[in-house]
Amino acid sequence: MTVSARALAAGHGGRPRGPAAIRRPAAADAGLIFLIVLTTATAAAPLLGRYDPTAMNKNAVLALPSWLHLLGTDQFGRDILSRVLYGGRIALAVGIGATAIAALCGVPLGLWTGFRGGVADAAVMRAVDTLLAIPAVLLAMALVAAIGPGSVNAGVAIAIVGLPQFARIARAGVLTQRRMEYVEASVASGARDARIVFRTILPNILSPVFVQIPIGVARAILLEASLSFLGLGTQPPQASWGLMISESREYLYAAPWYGIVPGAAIALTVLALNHVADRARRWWRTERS
Amino acid sequence: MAAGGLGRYLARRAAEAGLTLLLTSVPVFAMVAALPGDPAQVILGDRGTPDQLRALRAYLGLDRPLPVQYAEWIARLAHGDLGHSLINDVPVAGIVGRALPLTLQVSAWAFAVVVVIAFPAGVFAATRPRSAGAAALRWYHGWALAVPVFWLGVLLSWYFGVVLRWLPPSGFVPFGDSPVGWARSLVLPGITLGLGIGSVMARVVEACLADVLSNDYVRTARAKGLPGRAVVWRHALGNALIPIVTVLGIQAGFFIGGAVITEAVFAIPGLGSTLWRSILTRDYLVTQSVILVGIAGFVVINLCTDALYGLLDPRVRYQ
Repeated sequence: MTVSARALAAGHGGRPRGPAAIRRPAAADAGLIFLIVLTTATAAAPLLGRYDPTAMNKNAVLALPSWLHLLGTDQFGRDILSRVLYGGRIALAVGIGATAIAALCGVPLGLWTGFRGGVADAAVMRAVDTLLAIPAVLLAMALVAAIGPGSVNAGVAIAIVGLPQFARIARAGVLTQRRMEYVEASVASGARDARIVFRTILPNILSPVFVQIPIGVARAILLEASLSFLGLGTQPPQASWGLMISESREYLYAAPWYGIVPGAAIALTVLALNHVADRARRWWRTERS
Repeated sequence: MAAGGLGRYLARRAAEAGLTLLLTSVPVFAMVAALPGDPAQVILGDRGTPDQLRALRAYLGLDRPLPVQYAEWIARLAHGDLGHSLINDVPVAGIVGRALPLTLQVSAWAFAVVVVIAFPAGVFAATRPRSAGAAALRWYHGWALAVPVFWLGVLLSWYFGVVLRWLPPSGFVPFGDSPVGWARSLVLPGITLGLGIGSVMARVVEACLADVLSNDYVRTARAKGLPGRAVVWRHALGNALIPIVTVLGIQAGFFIGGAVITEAVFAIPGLGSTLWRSILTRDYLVTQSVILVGIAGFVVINLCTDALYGLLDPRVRYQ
């Protein structure tokens, strides 16, 4: 059996053939375009949204979509379009920020311990495996319980949840690369370990890290939305997609778009990131072969 | 020798599982120990005098060094003593004991949904990879993986529970009260929890089966004139089960996390809801114990998949 468990879990042990092979690059391009549009829209939230996302209007409670409020209003008269755009800011900020922290901490950790080996490597990897043994949502909830709710704390918790994956990927890369002749040449030339690891080996193991980044961002966005839905992430009256879905439950019968739009935003963003990750993974396979 | 090899393999896996559980107890204990505030103050509230607070801290062991507190906590856990709730002084073991069966029932229904989706969809896509049906399935799986579990639950609850009124939008009916009511109360939670994981497993089944179907012995079976269904279900799927079982064990973590969210959406008083409420009410001992039970569940599931792995693949037993 040649298919790795990770490739299977990602669903790409099989090769796309026929129409699927032609369609995949287009899906990845559509995903990238959506992400660019989303990032631009959330950055321009003050222009596109027109309203303060926390501004209440008791005269426009659960208003239907109209020219004044393109997606209507919620139970406090707050403009839903503005809240979706500002919620997107939090989703992208937490998603990208948490993943960046996880990568910036996890990759050097995995690189260094993998290169040095020995007791330090065994101890760190045992700690990493311990964190990986805890289901992600449980670990995130436990961390938020310890450090308190809020967008920033949720981001920190999600970064800690994502860190072991990057450490493992970096370590796997360095274990392969350190047997290569160019590394042996660096060692023989008297280069210090830090230079070998970060100047010589690191550029050659970045590809799998780049593949993991969109996966990590998608996972972080889902986790942030889940924590916010449970009241453990972004706190009211701030706007968050997960929080909006939680608040919309009582009003879906009167205003179904209130709960549908933020959920669709999460799904489309995660789908786009998954397509980009697919493209990156296919590119990496091509590079390796 | 075969039985002895399998026994040694399982014993080794069980020892590793025990070590993993012990190691994960350290961050769980540390996270709760790092919580701001004084548990003795939480229990006594504003009524406690300084002497009472000191006595209660000594009684709870909070005045001892952290490693000693950890060792005492592990010793109590080994005897099944999970402590008492800070909110209502109810034994945590009782809270967990009442909640765990509900979570297991929701998970069982979700597992059934996973199996119903994964094997038919995976076998179809592997045996007809160029068909429009396979392309449609891949498109569907992409969406199923992207949809947040809680959003799916909210929409299903609203549409089937409130709009159509076919099923209860929330709540749990014990089997003893009404078997039909019990089944109806678990359909939507089961679909919510199982849909996404079902798509993950469908892609895994497709990939593994496609790999196995390219082997020579499968070509031989077809050349001998065996019908396609026999080739797939009798000869190919058995060998494809080994990595499928492995990935299913990995997915157990998503199962457990998804159960927390699903129970919150459908107001089912299982472990997930218990954990959620305990965090909101700062009932830290309950939080600690439920997280540990969740981790133990994940470890046990992976131990079971390891055992199944050893049964499915004789080569594993002799390593």
